[in-house]
Order: sequence, then structure tokens, then C-alpha cells
Amino acid sequence: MFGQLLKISYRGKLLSGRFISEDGNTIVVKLLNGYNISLPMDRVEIETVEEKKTASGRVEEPQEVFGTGDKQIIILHTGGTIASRVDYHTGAVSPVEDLRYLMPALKDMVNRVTVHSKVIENILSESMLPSHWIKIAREIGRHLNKYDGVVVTHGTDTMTYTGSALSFMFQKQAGPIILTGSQRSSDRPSSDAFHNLEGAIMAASTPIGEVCISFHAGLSDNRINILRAVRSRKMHSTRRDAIRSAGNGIIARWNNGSLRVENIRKPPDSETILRDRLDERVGIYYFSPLSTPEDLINASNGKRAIVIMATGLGHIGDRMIDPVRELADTGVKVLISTQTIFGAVNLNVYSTGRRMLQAGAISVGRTLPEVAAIKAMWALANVKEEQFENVMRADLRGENPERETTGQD
Amino acid sequence: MKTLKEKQPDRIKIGLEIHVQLNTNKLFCGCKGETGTAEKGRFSRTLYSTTGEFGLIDPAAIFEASRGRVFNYAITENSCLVEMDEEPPHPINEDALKIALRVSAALKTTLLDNIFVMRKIVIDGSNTTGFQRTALVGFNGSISLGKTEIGISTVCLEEDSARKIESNSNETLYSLDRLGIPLIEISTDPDIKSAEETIEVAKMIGQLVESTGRTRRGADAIRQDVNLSIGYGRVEIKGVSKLSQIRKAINSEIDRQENLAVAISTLRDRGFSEMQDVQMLDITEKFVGCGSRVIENAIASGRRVYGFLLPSMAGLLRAGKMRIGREIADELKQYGIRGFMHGDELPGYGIESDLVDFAKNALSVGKTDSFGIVAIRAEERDTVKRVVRERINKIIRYDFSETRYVDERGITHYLRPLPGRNRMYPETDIPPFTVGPEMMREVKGNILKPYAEQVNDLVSRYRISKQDAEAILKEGLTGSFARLADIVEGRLAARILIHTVPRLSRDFSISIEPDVLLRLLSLLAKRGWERYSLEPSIIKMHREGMTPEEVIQDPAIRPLTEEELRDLVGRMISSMRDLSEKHLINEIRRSQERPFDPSLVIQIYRDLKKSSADNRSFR
Repeated sequence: MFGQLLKISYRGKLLSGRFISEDGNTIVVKLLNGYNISLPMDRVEIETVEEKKTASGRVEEPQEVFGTGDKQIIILHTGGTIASRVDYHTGAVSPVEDLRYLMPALKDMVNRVTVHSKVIENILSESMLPSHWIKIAREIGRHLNKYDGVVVTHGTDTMTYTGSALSFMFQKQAGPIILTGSQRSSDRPSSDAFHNLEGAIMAASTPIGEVCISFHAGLSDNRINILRAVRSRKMHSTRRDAIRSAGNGIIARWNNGSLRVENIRKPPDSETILRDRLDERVGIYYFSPLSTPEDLINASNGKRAIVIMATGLGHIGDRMIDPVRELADTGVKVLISTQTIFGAVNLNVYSTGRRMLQAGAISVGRTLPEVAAIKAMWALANVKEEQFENVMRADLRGENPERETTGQD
Repeated sequence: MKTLKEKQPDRIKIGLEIHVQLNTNKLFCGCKGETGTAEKGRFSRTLYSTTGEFGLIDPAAIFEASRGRVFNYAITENSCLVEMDEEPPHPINEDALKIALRVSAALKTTLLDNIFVMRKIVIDGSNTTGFQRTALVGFNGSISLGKTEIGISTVCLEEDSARKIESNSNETLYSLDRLGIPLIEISTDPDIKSAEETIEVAKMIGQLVESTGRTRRGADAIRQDVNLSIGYGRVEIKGVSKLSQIRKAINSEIDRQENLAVAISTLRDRGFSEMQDVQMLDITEKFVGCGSRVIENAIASGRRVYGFLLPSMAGLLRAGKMRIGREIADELKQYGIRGFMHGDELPGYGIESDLVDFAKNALSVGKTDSFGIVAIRAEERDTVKRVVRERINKIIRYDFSETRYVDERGITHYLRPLPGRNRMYPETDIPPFTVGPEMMREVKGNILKPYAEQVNDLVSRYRISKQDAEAILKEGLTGSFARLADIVEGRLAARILIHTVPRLSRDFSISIEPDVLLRLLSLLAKRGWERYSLEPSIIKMHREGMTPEEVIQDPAIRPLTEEELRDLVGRMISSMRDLSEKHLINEIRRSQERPFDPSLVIQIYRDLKKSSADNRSFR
């Protein structure tokens, strides 16, 4: 049993420790000096020790409401690293529902906001599906009527996907929707969760009518970016500033406790309108010198739209133009984005591009590839067929800004 | 109630924790283990306390978190994302692990088959992660100190902390250069009885680790923590880097505890048993223009002056050896609160007796009572209340256990509560490392002998001096030395490794590969030229890009023969007047490119002089 005091004889020495885990071959024991050791099962003799239970140290009670401020904010938890604690049985980081660890983030805002907390999902973001986006959207929709703002904690791997899906599904939103997460689990003293959450709660109590992501602006804990979900991307596997703007994406900056809004598209709407249907028959295809026409045809099998991550201005090799025409002719929407991430697609500059257009390709402009895919999922389910191309070219939620300037992240 | 009389000398129990840096790459990444490398930028962080496996928070961690500090870090050339806590640790450095296992085996510990990396919560900012990674390598060993066996409780391999550069009450700056350097941590049982024995044990263990030849040099390459108990709980004294500090630190700490015990016993005799809630009285108005610069400056910067009663403590805060006042002041300092004053030192610091009388009156200070004064921000009141109450209530129970640090004068000061076992939890980013039979054989087949034995072996086997033997062990040259000493005699081999090779590197920036040196030396030795031709050969090879086989053919490195020297010296005697022996050697060095044996020159010179004198006497 976890925590059971044991006496273990190993190589002629007697050890005392508490049972942590066992996998048949090895047993992991926490010695009384605090060290965990792992011993081969076939070399140890184990005896359990009965003991009286004594309480030592401090155990904090879970807390679901915090603060006395006027602004009512709800945190909806969906899982991910931010809500993770070490699983001492498997040794892996796994999500749990006890969220008291996030409280350090709230202490400076105790008079400004009242924070509520609700677990709606417990899933690592790599396992998220479009059906989860819809479930999360409905939860947010329900709570936006009762609270001033909603914070969603989420795994960071696919946070920008969820954020983009929410952006399109909420045609109108009565309050800010701020996603946040962390790169270091919240059971670590150096976790980035607390500051990300602090930035998120502050953004959620500010009149922002968009779906945003609160994430570290750099390696330091004192600066947080509030990013437009549809313009952000996870661009590093481990750094705490992993989620960055791909241009025109920073809408507010949190600096040591104060939030400065710089670039919002709109304040909250007077009501919330959720259009939560998505057509899942959309794929993403990464073009490279290795690509063959068959690859593209196979990747488009059963899809209503395929987003090609093309090179540079949006180009694909000559050999790929016939398959594009073939797909377009059969009614598959062939959407062209660029794998450069930064910058826009422009199919008018070179002959390749012009031939792609003639074959039926549709440019998504500056829209990020995965955002284009999600936008297509939403458009296929919510707008008329003849409107589709126009919608994909339009800038609905700030995903496809017409202008790109310098000096703007 | 405990009194001093019950204390016997054998109650002194001392244990050591010795940390030795290894000269390998860092423990969990490929960065080099250097210090003082160029700075590349900075970032800042905060740390929070978290709980261990059993849901318990470590008291030392709560303490640090309550201080709410900001930590700044200097990124250095030898640090990567791992040190910045921006990338998970890489697998444990096997090179360092083998060294730790060898040391562990030499200390007769039970070696572990599975190396389990733990996180030891340390949130003073010295680790960017908020924990130090540490792995138990062996346990339950011993080392002999004369006839006494000193138990070795654990041998661990851990990562060194970041190097503190500067600190004020709210922020600390650390450099990442040292963070992650492998440390072997050896902890003894509390078997040591005196400061002298402590120094002996520290020296012996330090030398044993150094004799692996894989330790770093430099000021903080070996650091000791001393655990001390004289019956009032364990005190851990951190950061005793020099052996000479050990004696002072131990003796001053024993003094402090004995005097504190006397003060406590007096306090209890006065009927004091517990500190109640500390009542803070705002006496700012009276202290405006009080004459104390510290207090006036504090008031000018918006701080308030508070007085509080310290019941039954008159004459115990600071009188003779009674120093309860310092106990309070030291702990307050850790929360950035300075300038604590108390009744035993007032009037003083510019504060006149009328103000003291006012304070005593206002606080109802009785005959045996005393009082304290602080000038603080209003929001710091609760910290002062808590610190004063908890400090007094802890020591009144004769519980002196805590972590202390030692200053340059060898005096210890409060640092933080003792960490408990709740500070440790598993490093989930690194799977346990299985040592495996091959590595275990390698370790056990090559057990380090005790240091003194290793020195004696070298001295008697190769007839070299003790100093040379020690230098060979510390520099990790045992292997190269043995190979050279197969070719030439031991003393020469030692000189080549300890003096010639470092000098060539220093003066000519020449570094010679060990196998090239070996080839060259054996070619020279075959011809009997090893003594005087080695250095010129190496320089020539370096300058002209030659191999040992080529340089050996070069006439310039062939030593002058006895006949050549006799001829040369003869001509010099006849052509030069006032030729001294020293002048002679320099003159040959200047005029001849080829090497020679100076002692042979002197011998020839004396022979020739003698025979010419003999000849003259016959005339």
C-alpha cells in the first residue's frame, strides 16, 4: 500500500522506508532520509511495520472559490500540464483534479476578482478531438452568461487549435475567453503556471471580446503576452515562451501585475452566440520535395477540404498541380497556406502560383495552416457553399489580417 | 527541565557533508563544468512551494516562499536550456556516475543497482527549477580514522547550485555557470566527537575523492556542511568552504548553544514558559527626531516605529554571553528586516534614556522584562510578530535545530529551518538508470585505496617524493605516470608530468598528446637522451610540425657528448678570463643549439681547472 512503512533487508543491510511503487521487477521505496531508492525485487526481503498514524507537516484543503472582488471569473479546467501532478505509481506526470496548487497565482488579485473553478474535462491536449472543442465551447457559452470572463486551462500542445476553434464558433461573446496552460507542471516550484494564470485572470476581467491565450513573453516570469488565439502557435517544445504570435497576435501585455491592452479587435458583445457545428472532413497536407501526387490524393481521401502547407509564397511542385485540379474538379476545396508560418500566400507573383489558381486552388492569405483548417471545418458546417471561398479569404476573427507591419509581434 | 548540568562532553555529535565538484561535463546536459564564463543575458523568476508525494510541504520551502523573492539569473557561455529550466534534463552523465560509484565503493558503502534521481526542494533560487537533482549511489559505509570507524551514511551524486553573485532584501542574482556541475556528496554518521576530528575526516574524504584525479580545482571545488548536536537538536552549518573555518565554526556554535541554554534556563527560572501574541505598539510620533539616524531615516521613508514587550528577558538579550537578542535579529534579517533594537542595548544608538523610559512605560515593562523596537513598513508587522513569537517559543523548549551559515569570522547565523524529508520527490523526467553488470565490474575491479596508501604505493614503487605522489594523484595523472615510469625512472617521469608538460603549455602554449609524448620519450630513452633532449624536441616538433620519429633524427636535439663538451670547455677556459661556473653554463647555452648535461659541464670544468693547476705546480 502506498506510504506503508517497510523494513527491507538488502545485501545484508537493513533499511526502513515507505512503499512508493512496485512493477514486479523492482520496488521503489522512500527511505526515511527522503531518498527514493529502487531495488531489485529478487534481492530484497520485505516486512511491513505497523505504526500509529501521526499528522506532520501541513496539508492544505482544496479550494474552489477565491477572492472578494466584484469581477466574477470562472476557470474551466480541461487538463494538461498546468493541472498536472506527479503520479508516483507510474512516475509519470498525469493530470489530476485537485487544483489548489494554482492558488499562488491569485493572491495579488484577492480584492479585485472572485475566482470560481470547475473541472469540465481531464485530457492531455494531444488527445483533444473536435468533439472536445464543441464540449468546451458549450461549457464556456453557459458560463459567459453568468460570469464576467472565462479562463480555460488547457494542455499547451494543441491549445492554439482549441483557441482557434472557439474563435470561429463564438460568433458573439459576452466576455473574454482566455486560454492558458503551462510548460512546467504546477507541482514544480518553478512552474510557469502561476504567472500565466495570473495574466489570464487579469485579461478575463478586462473588456476584451476575443478568444485569447495567456502565455510567457520570454524566459522571465514577469512578462506575459495575451495572444490572439487565431494568430498564435506553439513554436518551441520546451521553453516557457513556447506559444508565440505569428504576427499581429499580441493584443495585451501583462507586466509585473499590470495589464496594458494594445490591439483588441472588439470589446465583448452584448450577447453570446455560439454556432458550434463543425465539419470534421478537413485535412492538412505538408508539401515537401518528397511529395508525390498519390500522397496528396490519399491525404484528401474522404475530405471536403484539404489545407496544403505549401512552400514560400504558397507554391507546390509542378507534379502536384494536376492532382490539385483533379481534387478541385471533384468538389474538394484545396486551400493553400504556407509552411513559412510568417508572411502571406500570394499566388499571383510566379507562374506556378497562377497555374495553381487556374487548377482551382484557394489562397488563405495570411491565415496559419491549422487555423485555416479549423476555419474550413466551421465554414463547411455554417456557411453556404457559394460563400465558402469568400469566407476563407475574409478576415473574420483577426486570423487573416490584410496588413503586416513591422514592429508588431 | 533540562539544565546545563545534565550535559556531558560525549553529547557532542558531529557529522559532515562533503561536496566535491567533478571535472566532467555537467550532470544533466552537455555543458562544460566551468565557472566565470562570459555572460550572455539575464532573466528573472519566482518560485513557489509545492508538496511532496505524501502531500506535505517542506518547512524550509514554506519559509523561502514566504519571503517572496525575485531571482535573477545570468546566462553564461556554459549554460543551455537545461540550466534555465527551459528543457528537461538529459540522461545522467555516466562518466560522473562511474566516479561517484568508485568513491562510494572505496568508502565501503552498499552500491545501488538502480540510480534514482530525486528532486530536493530548494527554493532559495540557487536552482532555477526550485529543486536540486540528487541521486543516492551508495549507503551504509565507513572510513577509518586511526582506530575509530566513522560511518558513511550516504554517497550521492548531485548537481551543483547556481553561483550567487549579489543579493539584496528582495532580489538575488545568480550565475548559471556553476549550476549542474556534478557534485559527489558524502555524508558521515554523527560519529565525530571534536572539531579536530572533523578536520581530519574532512581532509581524508576530500583527498580520497581527489585521488580519482577527476575533481575540479578552485575556491569552491570542495565544500563542507557541518551537522552538529550538543543535545539541543541538530544544527546544520552550511558552506564551510575552508578546512580552517571548520574549527572556528564548530567552536563558536558550541559556545552559542551553551550560552543560549544558560539564558533559556534563567528565563525559565523566572517563570517564563511561553511567548504569547506579540503586541506591537506604534510609537513613531515619539521617535521623530529621536537622535538615531537609522530610525530617523526609516521614518523619513514612511516606515513606522513599533515597540513590543519581551517578558522576563532583561539582561538575557545581550549581556555578557547572553544573546537572545541576536537570535531574534538574525531571523528577522532573513525577512529583510534590519535594525532590531532591544532593552539591553538601550539607551544607545543615539536613543536617549527619556525615550527608553517612555517606551518602557508605554509597554508596561516590568523589572525583569525587556522590550524590542523595530522600524518597519506597517505590512511587515505580522512577520515581526510571528518571527519573535515562534523564535522564542522554539528556543524556550531547548530546540535549537535549524540551518545556519557561517560568516567570514567563523560566526554562525540563522539561515532557515531544517529541511525535512518532505523536500524530496522523484525526478520524473529521468527514468531510473540501471548500473548493469559491466559498469559494476568496472567499478569494483578498480577500487580506490585509501589516499595515504595510494601515496605510499607511489613513493615506494617509483622512489618519488611524497609531494610528487600527491600531485600525481590530485591531477589524475596516475595512468600517464605509470606508462612514463615504465620507460624512464620515476623521478624523471614525475618531473616531466608535473613540471615540464605544464611549463611548455604555459610558456609556449604547447599541448602534447599523451601517446606522442610516450613515443618521443621511448625513442630518446633508447639513446640515453631522455633527460636533456625532451624539452627541445617537443619545442622543435611544435615549431616545425615534426613527428617524434623525425625529430629524433635532427642533430639539433642530440646532446653534446663528453668529448665535445671537454673540447668546448677547454677552449673557453683558455680564451675567457674570470669564467665562473654559472657563467660557463649560460655561455654554452647561448652558443650551442644542442642540449647538454650541465652537471657534466661543471665536472669537466673542475677537472680541467684542477689539472691545469696541477700542471702549474709542476713548473
